[in-house]
Amino acid sequence: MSEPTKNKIEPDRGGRDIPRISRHILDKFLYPYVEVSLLGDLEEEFLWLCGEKGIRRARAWYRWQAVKSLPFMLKNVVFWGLEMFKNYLKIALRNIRRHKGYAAINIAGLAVGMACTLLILLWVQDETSFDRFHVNADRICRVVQNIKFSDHSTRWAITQGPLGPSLQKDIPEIESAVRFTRRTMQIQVGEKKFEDWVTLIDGSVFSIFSFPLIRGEATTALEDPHTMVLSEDLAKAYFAGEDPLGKTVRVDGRADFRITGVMKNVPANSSFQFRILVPFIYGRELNYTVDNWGNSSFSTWVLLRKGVSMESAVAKISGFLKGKPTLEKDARLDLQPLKAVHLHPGLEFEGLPQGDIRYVRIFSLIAFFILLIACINFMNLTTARSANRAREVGLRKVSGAQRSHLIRQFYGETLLLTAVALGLALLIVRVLLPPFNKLAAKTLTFGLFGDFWMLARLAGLVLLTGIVAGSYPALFLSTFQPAKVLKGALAAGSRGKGFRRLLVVFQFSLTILLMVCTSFVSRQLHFMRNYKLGYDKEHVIYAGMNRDMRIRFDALKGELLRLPYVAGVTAAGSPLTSGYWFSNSLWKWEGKNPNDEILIRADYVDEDYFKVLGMEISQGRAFVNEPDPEGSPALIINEEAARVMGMKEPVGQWLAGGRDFKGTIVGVVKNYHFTPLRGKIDPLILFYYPPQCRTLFVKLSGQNIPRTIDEIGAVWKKFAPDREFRFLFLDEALDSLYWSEERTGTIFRYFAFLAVIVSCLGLFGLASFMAEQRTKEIGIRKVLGATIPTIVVLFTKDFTKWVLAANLLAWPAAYFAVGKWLQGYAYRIGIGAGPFLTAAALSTLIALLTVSFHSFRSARSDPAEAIRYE
Amino acid sequence: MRLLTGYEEIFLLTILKLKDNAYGVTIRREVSRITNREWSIGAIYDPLYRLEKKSFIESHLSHPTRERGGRSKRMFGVTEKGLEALLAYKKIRDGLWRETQKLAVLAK
Repeated sequence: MSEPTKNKIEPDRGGRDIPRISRHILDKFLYPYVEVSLLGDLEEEFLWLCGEKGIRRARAWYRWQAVKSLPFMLKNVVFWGLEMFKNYLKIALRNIRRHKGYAAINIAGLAVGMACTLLILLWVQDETSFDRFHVNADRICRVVQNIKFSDHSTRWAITQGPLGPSLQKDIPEIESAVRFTRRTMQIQVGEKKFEDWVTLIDGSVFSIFSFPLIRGEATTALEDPHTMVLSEDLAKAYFAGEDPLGKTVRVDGRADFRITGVMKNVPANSSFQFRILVPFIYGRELNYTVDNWGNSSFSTWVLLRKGVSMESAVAKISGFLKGKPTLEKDARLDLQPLKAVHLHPGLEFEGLPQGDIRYVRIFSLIAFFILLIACINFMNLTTARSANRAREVGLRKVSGAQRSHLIRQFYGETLLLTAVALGLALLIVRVLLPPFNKLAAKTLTFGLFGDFWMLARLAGLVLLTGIVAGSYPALFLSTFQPAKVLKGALAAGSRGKGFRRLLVVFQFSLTILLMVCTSFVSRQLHFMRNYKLGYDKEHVIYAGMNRDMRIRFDALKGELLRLPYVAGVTAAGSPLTSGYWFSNSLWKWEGKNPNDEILIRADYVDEDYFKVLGMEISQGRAFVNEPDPEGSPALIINEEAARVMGMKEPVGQWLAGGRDFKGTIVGVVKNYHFTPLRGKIDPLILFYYPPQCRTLFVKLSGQNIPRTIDEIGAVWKKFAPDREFRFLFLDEALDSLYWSEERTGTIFRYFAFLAVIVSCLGLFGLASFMAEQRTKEIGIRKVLGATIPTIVVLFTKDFTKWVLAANLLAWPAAYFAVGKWLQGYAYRIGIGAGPFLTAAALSTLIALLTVSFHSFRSARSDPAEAIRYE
Repeated sequence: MRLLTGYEEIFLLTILKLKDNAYGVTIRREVSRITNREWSIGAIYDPLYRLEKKSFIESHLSHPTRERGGRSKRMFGVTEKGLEALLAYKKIRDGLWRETQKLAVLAK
């Protein structure tokens, strides 16, 4: 003590100088395992050292102490952690083994739920990944036209031929543009002939989109009008291993094309499915209106400059068409981002295969519901059986377990079960993926390894399911008070009863919701398929004709009519799946308000159209096979057109359209559906002009159909030796219009079914548990004279009540959801009570069957044994 | 009765010497000084626990103090039994020393 200042301790520093991290480590990991006062000793020594040798030395010393004790701490933490883990695992496995039935129900339910979720996730992932692979995806937009008519407005996905290059030239925000259109052409390679879709497209496609060439030079591949780029697959099919570069093919028998590039196959999640590309300017040779502002029939895409926002670009181009000689006077240009194209349908003249964000949302919701139902099962069963675990919890607590330890233990157990369920779910997905692909018309693959994101997602799924399903048991069980449970104060299954009921009600509500929705989807589909379209679609086949056939159509018709089982032959511009050839708002008539812009569809037909397809002429007459008997071209309009034109007596009135066309209405045809039933019937004008009728309709008598088709094929061959006879049945083609609904309906049905199964599994487990719990009660009741039916009723009454409550909860939600969905259909079913009542009856029946199985079994058991139970 | 070891004797004597202020830090410092080597903080407790197990010493936790970061000290005190053992050991050793005084002289 020679220098008292040295020993001076500054008490008010209160250990603030102690290295914080080291102190924390020592505190956290040393404390449970060593002498309590040791840590105090460390602090006291530290303070002393501060006085003796200075703060820096003291801090270094303290840190060194922490480092020195690390091996010891590590050993302790790992050793005891492992020891406890071993114990948890052992107890978990014992529990599974002892209650095999419950464990099986739990795992099976979770596995089915997870499998559904995985399948839907795969589908959703595929749908939302469309067109994202392009490097410039964020900057690519489609140019669309917003067009206003008097009674409605519409968005067109097509634009004028010269628009792309002018936008690129005049608008600095736009870096480059690409236009395309497509048609089927005949490709002749040596002696072999193929028919395929050919895309006429600007060479800039390769710089805007990411469609890499594996052979050839992207910048020059589509420069010369007679060049062609093939997809890898087609190059192989056409040239069978030979180098395709520099080879020539003959197109439509009139021009030779040089292969200048081979393109990597377009991925399945691309809106554009390009297989054969030829230069856009080749369209000039086909008399396409490539350089004409007067016709919108091309798809135009632009690449915005880096840093340019879509809004500012739209502001710049919106009025671009003003002053251009377009037919759509009031059209304003707009942009649609590439990433939105696939999932946001609703544009007219779309041309690209469409998904629907609504279905992505609906399916994601269903996946979530099914997983939730499975999780609820898990919670229900675990809490119901909590009494069996109560003693364990009490004992653990008495032995020093803290609540956090127990929570960890129960979460761990859930995660273990969830992981097992996931293994099972992966197996289920493996098995179900091929049929699911067929159902959803997809080529989804499921690679577990090598796909980091898939693994991460699965781990996330396990974690999510485990935490959702395990939360209530973990938090609930860990609250048990050791003194009470060890004394046996906890009646089995009595606690958490209200919560369990709530879960059952919620779970059944979800199931009923799915059931009701499924029923309405099926009904709407049935309704559309059997809707009276206004014409006769049975036994009609149709096929597209080429130019030669159109020129010699009268001869072709004559030969076909001579076949024994052909009832009629006619032709029109378009097939009835999309039954109009063009549409515009340029028509004028007597008494038309000049400010009105009314969109009118139009098509060409031949004289037998109405007779063969069974449309009814309500006023005037049908066409006759004579050109313009009344001096001006004959026209037939539909009743809707007569209505919008305000004509009481349309026959004999004139209609003017285009540059100098003027025709006379000779008849009115009753409204028939020439577009899919999602939309209303539009006004329609029909021309009599056989040379433009590209679609051949043949009405069969309905007997000897295969032979008749062979005969038609033979006649076809005579008129078009180069063109394959490819035909469709009209009724089947019409059905195919509703494929997306059909697919949705089927997928919906399957998943609703699975949801019901999973719900029932849960109910089954719960009922069996209740039956077990009430064994003694049943025994006593039987001794006192209760009959089997009374006992069964006693049991089922409880469950039935709650299932009915679930119905009441689900109905409003279902009503709302169905109403919302049906709004997308102009012709729809009403929301009747039938499906609601059916769902109620079905859910009650299922619940009753599930529950009564157990109650019946326990009701039949020997009362003597039952009373001795426990 | 079992005989003490050398270290046990040192620890017991140190605790006796420290009287009411015998706890981890002080004991460590004293023992380090006497034996002329640095004892680590943890190492001090092992022999103490052993002595306690043999009931030669007893301990209790003090009230927490501020300079120890709010942690208590474990205060040690020698029991009756410990004292007896010390005295018995001393008696044996003193006798032996007397008998081998010659040796002790040599050692000097």
